[in-house]
Parts: sequence; C-alpha cells; structure tokens
Amino acid sequence: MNCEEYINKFLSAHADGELTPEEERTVVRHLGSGVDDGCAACRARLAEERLLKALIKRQVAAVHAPQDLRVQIDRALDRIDRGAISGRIGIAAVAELRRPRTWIPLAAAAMLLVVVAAGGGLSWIHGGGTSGGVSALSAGDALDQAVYSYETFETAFRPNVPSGSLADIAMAYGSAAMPDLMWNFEFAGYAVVGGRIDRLPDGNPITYTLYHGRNGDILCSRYKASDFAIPPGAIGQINGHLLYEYQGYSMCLTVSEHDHFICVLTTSEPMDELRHDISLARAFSIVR
Amino acid sequence: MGEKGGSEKRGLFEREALPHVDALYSAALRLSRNPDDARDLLQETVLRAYRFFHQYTPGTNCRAWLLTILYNNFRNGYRGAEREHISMTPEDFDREVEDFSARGDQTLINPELLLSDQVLDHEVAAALNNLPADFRTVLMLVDVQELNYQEVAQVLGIPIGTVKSRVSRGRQMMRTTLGTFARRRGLVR
Repeated sequence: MNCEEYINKFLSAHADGELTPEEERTVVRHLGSGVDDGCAACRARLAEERLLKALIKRQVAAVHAPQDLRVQIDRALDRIDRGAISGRIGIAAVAELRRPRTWIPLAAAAMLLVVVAAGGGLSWIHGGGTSGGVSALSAGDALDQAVYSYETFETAFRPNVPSGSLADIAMAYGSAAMPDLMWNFEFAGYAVVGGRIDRLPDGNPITYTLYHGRNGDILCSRYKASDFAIPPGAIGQINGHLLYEYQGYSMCLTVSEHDHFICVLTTSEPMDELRHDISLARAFSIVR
Repeated sequence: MGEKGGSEKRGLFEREALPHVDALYSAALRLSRNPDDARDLLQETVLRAYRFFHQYTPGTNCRAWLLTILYNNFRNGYRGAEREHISMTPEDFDREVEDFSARGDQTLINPELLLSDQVLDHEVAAALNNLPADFRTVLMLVDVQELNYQEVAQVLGIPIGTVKSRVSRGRQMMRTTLGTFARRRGLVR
C-alpha cells in the first residue's frame, strides 16, 4: 500500500472505525507506529482526519429543540393515545390566513356561481388550469400520493392561500394556473378549512383542499398527471368518479381526460359515508 | 416530558425515542434551513415514529431509525422540495477533484498539516455549506449524529459503498476548502 492508496481508499473509513480487521492489518503495516517505522506522513493525515471530524461536530453546536415544541409533541402524543388524532387532520394556523370577505372584489363576488350539477356529479372538463406543468407523477401514483398527503397533514394542515371561503381558495388556485373548480360539501355538513399549494419534487404544483365535518375530514388533492393510467382496484363508481378502499382510507378518484388533472378525495370515514357525501356535493366555481 | 398516558408503548417510546429529539431537531434544521419548517418536520417525524413504533426493533440504534423516518419525511414532504435542488453529482465532483489536482496542488497525496486548532468555526461552517448536499448529508450523519456507515446507508437508502466514497470525498473537499482559507490567512504557505 502506498500513501495515495491509503488516503483515497482507507483514510476516512480508518478514522471512522469502519475498516474490516483485514484492512486494519494492512493499514497498520503501512502506517507503522514509531519514529523510524512506517509512514509518519499518513499518520499525521489520520490525526488530521480525526481533527476534521471533531471540527465538524463542534461546528454544529448542540442544538436544543424549543421547549414549547416538546410540549406540543407531548400533547400530540397524548391525543394519539386517546385515539383522538387518528384519521383526523390537524388544523393549524388557519386564522392568520382567513381574510375578510372583502378580499374578493365585489364585482367578482357578484359573479360567484354555485354550479349544481345533475345528481351531484361534477364535470371536470371545464376545470381550467391547462397551462399547469405536467407532473412526473402518473395517475397510477395518485392513491399513494393521496394517502401520503393525508397522513402528513394529520399532524397539521397549514393553509398557505387565503382560505376564508371556497371563493378565496378557488381564486388562489386559478391564479396558480390550477383548476378553480372545487368540491362543495356544504350540503353534506362539511366546512372548508383551507387550501394549500405545494410543489411536487419535479417543481409542478399540487393543490390540497381540506374539508372538516362532524364525523371526519375530507382531503382533496389535485395535480396534473404524466399519463392516464387509472389505478386498478376500484370498487365502484358514483357519477363517473371512481371509488377505492385503499390502505384503510375511502377514496374517490376523478380524472379529467381533457387536461389530465387528477383529483383524489381521501377520508378515513367509511365508504358509505363518502358515497353519501359525494351524492350531496355540489361543484363550485368562479365564473370567468 | 413526563411519562404520561400510562401505556407500555408510550413509556418505551419516551425512553427510547424522545431522548433523540434534540438530535432530530438539529438534523431537521440542517435539512429545512428554517425553524418553522424544522418544527413541522420534527413533529411529523416524532408522531409518525410513534404510530409506527411497533416496527422499531428494540436494541437497534433508535436514532438511526428516527433519522430514517425524518429523511423520508423530508424527501417525500414536498415542502422542502424547492430548497435543496442543487446537488453536485459524483461525476461533477470527480471533475472538480481532477481540476484541482491538475493545478499542481499535491495536498491530496502529499500530506502536510493543513488543519490546526486555529481553523475558525465560521470557516468550517462555510466549507460545510459549500459541499454538495449529498456529501454534506453523509458527513452530518457520520460526524454529528455518529451513525456508522451501515446505518447511514439505511437512513438514506443508498448502498454502503456510496456512503463510504461520499464520506471520503466530502472530507477531502472540506480539507481542500479549509486549506485554501488557511493559506489566505497566511497560516500555511
């Protein structure tokens, strides 16, 4: 073994205690131990490597989680123990994003229209938002994506668009080139909590709308899919929306052949409940 | 945090997992680079860990298990997706190292002590921050979180050989940067 080989192949692992016994023996032969024995330069390099490790550790000074966060976590654990959190989405910081109704210009407000589709079905063909980028996520990923989102938001759903009303949210989505046609579950006893626009890893937008009802929450997520492969396993349909029971959740998938937008409703409520909610739902849109 | 709730699971979780909250917060801060997101990330991680605590094998490294959840949360969480996109590929890094060697600097193979106690903390911070994210991440996990290579491989979902080469290259790059700082300050010829 020469110095270059030691430094490039073994030095770091040596300093980290990650050498196999055999490698260790080889390395020790090269390094030696005394003044006249072995490679003093590499021994110095090893000492330096260890110093570097210590410097990195020291630089990241001991950080302490804020006390109020610890308390918050403790309380959340209590809620999980009581069974209060499972299946429900935590609602955080809604108040700061609620805007006065006057945020919508009066003229625009006058044009708000609740579209009542026959039998409660929604037509997504005119959902708008055709300029949104196509996500790398396929339609087949929709259910996993939705479950992941639901479980992530169980801790806290933090709206990041003005969320005083469906109209606020629809306008925010519209200005982000996302469909502004919304589910309205008011008649099924749900209030809209808020809307959120995030970016998928590929940079394309995904919107989340959360509805809160007496028996549970419904999360609506929407993004533009890269393809049109509908996930298998639907257990039925209602007004053209596909129904799935997936990983303990009741879900409703809508695909728009027109612009490839995927819309998934996710809830921990039983499927019968979701069916019922959908049958009472209306479409909401801002007429342009 | 007191032992509340009385359940066996809660007690075990408080003994095994909660002592790592500071370490998790530190990692969350590093990843998300902003205290609000770090709070969210930490909280999500702890609550998810609690829900899936039955999957944890007692006696294994709980910190590594928790960090795995944290990194998965971060990777899949989309919230941070806009932030850490710039990541040099190993090929880019090879090129940098080659360029560096071509400039006739022999420090990589002809050791002279570049580092000393006089290296300034802010220089270490700058050198760390200048590392491509992939390299910085493994150094944080090895040197700060004190995980072994196998655990780092598990946390990041990458082969152990990749961990090994990233540690080695990351430290070489740190050393090069710190050497440059030191030379500028006249500490080293």
